Formats: sequence, C-alpha cells, structure tokens
Amino acid sequence: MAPVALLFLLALAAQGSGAFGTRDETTDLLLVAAGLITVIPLLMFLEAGRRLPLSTVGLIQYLTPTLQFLLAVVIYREDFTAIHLAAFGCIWLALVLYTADAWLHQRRRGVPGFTSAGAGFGSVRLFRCGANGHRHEATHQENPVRHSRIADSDRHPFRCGNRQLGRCWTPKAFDVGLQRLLAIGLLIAIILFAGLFHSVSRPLHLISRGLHEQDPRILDSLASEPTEFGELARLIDDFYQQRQHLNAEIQERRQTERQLRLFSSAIEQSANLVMITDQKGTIEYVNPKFVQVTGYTEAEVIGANPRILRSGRTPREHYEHLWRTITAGGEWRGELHNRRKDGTLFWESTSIAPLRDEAGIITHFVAIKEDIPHRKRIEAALHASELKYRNVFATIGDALFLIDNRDGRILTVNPAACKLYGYSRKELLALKDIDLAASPTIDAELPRTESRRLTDRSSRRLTDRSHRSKNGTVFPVDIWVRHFSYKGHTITVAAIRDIRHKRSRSEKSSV
Amino acid sequence: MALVGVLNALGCFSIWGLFPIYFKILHQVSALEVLAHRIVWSVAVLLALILWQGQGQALLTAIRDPRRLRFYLGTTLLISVNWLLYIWAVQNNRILEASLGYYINPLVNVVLGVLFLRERLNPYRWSAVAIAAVGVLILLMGHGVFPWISLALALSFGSYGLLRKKDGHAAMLGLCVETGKACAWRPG
Repeated sequence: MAPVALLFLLALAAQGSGAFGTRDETTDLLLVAAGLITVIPLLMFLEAGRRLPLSTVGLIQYLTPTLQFLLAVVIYREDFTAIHLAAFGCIWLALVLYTADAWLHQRRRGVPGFTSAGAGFGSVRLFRCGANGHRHEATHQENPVRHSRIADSDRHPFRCGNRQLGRCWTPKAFDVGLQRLLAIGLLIAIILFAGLFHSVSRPLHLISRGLHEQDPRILDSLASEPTEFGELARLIDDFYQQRQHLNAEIQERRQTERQLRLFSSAIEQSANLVMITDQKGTIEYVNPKFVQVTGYTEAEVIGANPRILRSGRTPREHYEHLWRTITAGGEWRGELHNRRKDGTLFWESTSIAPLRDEAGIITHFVAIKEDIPHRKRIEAALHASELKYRNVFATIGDALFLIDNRDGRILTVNPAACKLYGYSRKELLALKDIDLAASPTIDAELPRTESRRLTDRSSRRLTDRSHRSKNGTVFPVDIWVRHFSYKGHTITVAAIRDIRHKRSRSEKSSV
Repeated sequence: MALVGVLNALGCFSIWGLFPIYFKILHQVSALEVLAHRIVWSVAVLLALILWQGQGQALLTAIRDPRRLRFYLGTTLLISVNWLLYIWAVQNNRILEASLGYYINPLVNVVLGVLFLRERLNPYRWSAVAIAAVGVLILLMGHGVFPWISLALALSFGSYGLLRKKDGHAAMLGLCVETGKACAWRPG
C-alpha cells in the first residue's frame, strides 16, 4: 500500500493541491508524526498482548470506544439523543454480557479460539476444573499436591502454577464472581437510568412546565443542550418569540387599519371632491362627492385624465402653471371653471399636492376641490349690489357722510359733499363731524347723538342747521340721519342738503 | 510484568481512543490524504525498526512468498478501508458512530466467527449479539438512518482480525508488510 499511497501523495504534490508543504508547519509536522502516532500504539498493543491474558486485553479494549464516545459527546458536542442513549445502552449491556461470559469461560477453560489470536502468548495450556474434584489434568503437572487441597466450596479462585493461565475457578468462586458481576451490572444499570433521567425525564419535565406556564425562561437552560429536548426547547422558544412578534404586529396592523378606515371614510364622506391621480395625471380614485358633483361615474373617470373636466373657460397658462407647480413638488391652490358631464359649468376651489413614497419620489397627486357655485353667486350678487349703490352714492345731489359714532370721524363722503363744503375728499376724511358745523356747539354733534335714539331702519330729519364750508361761508342745511351697525359699532349715515336756495326763494316770495 | 502489560494496554487503547483529536486538528486535510500520510510515514518508521532489530531477512522472505503476499494484500485493503472510514467519520462529526462501531466490534467478531469459522455460541453470547442488534435497530427506527459507518468499521476490522487469525506470523512483520505492502507489489 505504501507505493500507492506514496504515488497518491506525489500526484497531489505535483498538482499543488496536497496539504503537505502547502500549509503551515504545524500541519506538516502533524502529518509526518502520523507515522509515529500509528506505530507507537501498535507496538504497545503487541507488548500488552505479550504480557497480559487476552481476557484482560479484551476488557481494556473498551477504553478506545469509550474515549471516542466521551470526545464526541463532551468535547465535540455531537448530537446525542435519547435514541442514541438507548442504542448505546443496548450495546453496553450486550458487551457486559459478552465480556463477562468470555472472561469467565476463558478463566475456567481457556478458550483456544480466543488465546491463539495473539502471537505473543506463547504456548497455550489448558486447565479443566472437573466437577468431581479432579480438577487438574495432564497439561498441568508441576504441582499436583497443591491442587488436591482445593475444594469446590473454596470462595476464592486458586492460582495454578502457570502464571499465564492465571487463576482457576471452583464452583463456589464462580458463584461469587457471578454475584460480583451482577453487582457491576446493577451499577451500570443505575448509571444508565441516571443518564436516562438526566437526558429524558428532566428535559421532558422542564418542557411541560415551560409550556404549561407559558414561560420560555424555564427552557433557557435546556435550549443550550445538543439533544432532541434542547432542540425542542429552542423551537418552543422560537415559537414564543414568533408569537410575541405576531401579536405586536397584529396590534400594529389593527391600529393602522383603524386609522386607514378613518381616513378612508373621511375621504369617502367628505363634503369636498377628492381626486387622486398617478404621477402622470391618470385618475386612480375619486370620492362619491366627485361623482355627485361632476356627474361622471367612477368607471368613467378612473384611468382618464382630469382634462375631461376642462370647460375651456380657464386659460391654458393657468393649467400650465398648475402642472409646473405640482411636478416641482409644490402645492397649488386656485379656482378652476370646469364642465360637468352634462355640459353645465361649475366653479371649484382646488388645492393639489403631490404624494411622495419613502424615497421622496412623487407617486401620486391629490386634488381636493370645493364646489363653489353658491359662493360665486353671492359674490356676483354682492358685486352687482355694490355697483348699484356706488353709482347712487356718486350721482346723488345731497352730500352723504358715513360717520364713526364713537369719535365722529368721517369715514366716507360722496362727490356732492366735496362740492358742497369745498374740501377735497382727502381733506374731508381727515375731519370730524363737528368741524363742519358753523359753531362748535353741542348742536353740531347732533346727527350722531340723535342717532343714538334711533332704532335701526328708521331715519330722522334735522332741519335748519348751520354748516360752514372750507372758505368760511356759513349756510343752512337740512340733515337726514340714519344709522346701522357695522363690525360691532354704530355708523351714522348723514345726508345733508343745502337749503340756501330754498330759503332765498321763500325770502323772495315773502318779500 | 503484568503492570507493564496493563500500562501498555491502557496506553495504546487511550491513544486510539483519542485519535479523533488528531484527525480533528487535520480536518482541512482530506481523509484520503491523511490516510496516505499515515501509511507512508509508518512504513518509514517500521522499516527503520525492522532493520534496527536485524529482521530484514525475515521481511524479505515474507515478501517473496506470493501466496502470503496476496494474503497481505487482502488484510492491507481491509485495514486501509477501516482507517479511511475512521478518519472520514471523525472529520465529518460522526465520532459517535465510530465509537459505536468499535464497541460492537467484538460482537461482530463473534458473528464472523460463527459464519466463517463455524464457531458455536452459548446462549449468553447469542443474547449479547441479539441485544446489540436491538441497539442498532433502535438507531435505525429512531433516526431512520442505518449506522453504516459503525457497521462498516466493525466489519472491516473484524474481517481483518479474522484473516489475521489464520496467519501466525510475527506481528511486527505482518504489520510492516500490511502498512508497507512493500517493495515487491507495484500497481500495474
């Protein structure tokens, strides 16, 4: 075999894949030492065989697998399960039986098959213990006298002259030996059962307790063991951990779900129109209010572009600005004049904002629109009314003043007032009501004070008051007073008519 | 003298029992390569020993006998397989199976003796073999895996013992021829 092995090693070395010389020095040294490590125990074995009866060697030989067993289980932590224990238990029991039998047989008779195995045992001598007291036969004749003194009832095996055969057994001695053997067997059985308890009963107990009390900490000590029960404990531990994670996740999901349902119903039931599009502007969602206001069904708008709502009344630049703003990530607010499915137009106040994913990339746009036909109508009506009254205010011949009732400041005047008093509008707005009276008497404040007595919607005429214009001319006036509430305080409306002409006419007529 | 024998026995069986440590250290070297090194280096050591003891002539005589050489080839193959299996088992974390193999070795010897040497067994030995078989069966049923490493180890070593039993040659010489399969035999 050596040439084959040598060729094999040389081939490996030639390939450069051999371990020898390619790794560290320790490996090389260990490989070279393989020779000694192989030869030395062999020589020791031969020496032991030469000096000891085979039965003894046969007993000591179990040291090898026992050491291997301990190495495997204690040092290298190979899996050692209850199954292994049971199997090894059987093997050990069988070995006890076999070895005891072989040992006793060899001692009693000398078994040729057993002793001839070793070359170092020299000549084999047989010695038979006969049942009738003639316990020595021709093979052993050195000391017949000594042997004749031995009785069957002797408790101890006697030593015969030949050292190599060792001791011989009387029936009594054999019984004693058997009892001792039984004791050893019992000891082994106890050790076995202790092992069984340690590796089976104890972990089972721990596992059942850990499961019963739902406390994985009980299994902690077990989980580090390389046995089936250790594996079970680890699995149970994993199970508990997973359950914990699962519970936490379920809680979290419930929370999220509740929130989502809330958000969803908020959008579904919103009084505003909600529309969600993807980043290209294709509609992905509209809420019921949208359907109600626009007249389009969900199926018609989903997948379509919001362009379908355009009426043509909103300038193109408006849309371009909108799109630029939201694609740049900004929020757009404004009003759009849109068209329903049935062709009627409506105003909406719209705010559009982008939605971003975790990476910050825009994925959707959300448009929230408020249907504003009512507001627009009011605005238009207000506008018309305002227009009407502004014209009335501007064209009427009497001087009209709005006066703040708290301090008499003039708030608004009409062009007729400027003409009557000779002040510019700006100058009049810097004055108070008393500045217009001819003499600063209590009388001058009358329109204001008068108004206090007036209820809303009623007016009063104050006749024959004297007012002064910018150039000092004093002239008689009639005043109509009315008041209204505005922002929590009272405003006096005073319409002032110059009555000089009337008076001169009446003077003329009286003259 | 018996003490020396016991010490020798303890020594050799301990070394064999602790072999896994050695193979574990060499775990990055393949089992076949370790085996090759074992063979080559032990032959070197044994040749040196034989020459030192002046038994070179006996070795030559043994080698020249073709019948004996064939016989040694058989034993050599058996022991090589045994060693290889053992190294492989250790390196693949199956020391426990190896241990089982060495435990059942004597019982396998008994079975081999019955089969090939027509030895007769008493009830004790029969029951011992039966109980061991139950042990193997437990492994088979419990893990669904046949402990082939254990049985192959025991069988290869048992057959080796069986063959050796038929040859009464001087042990060291036998060992040398086995490990060496020396100079006369060449492949091809």
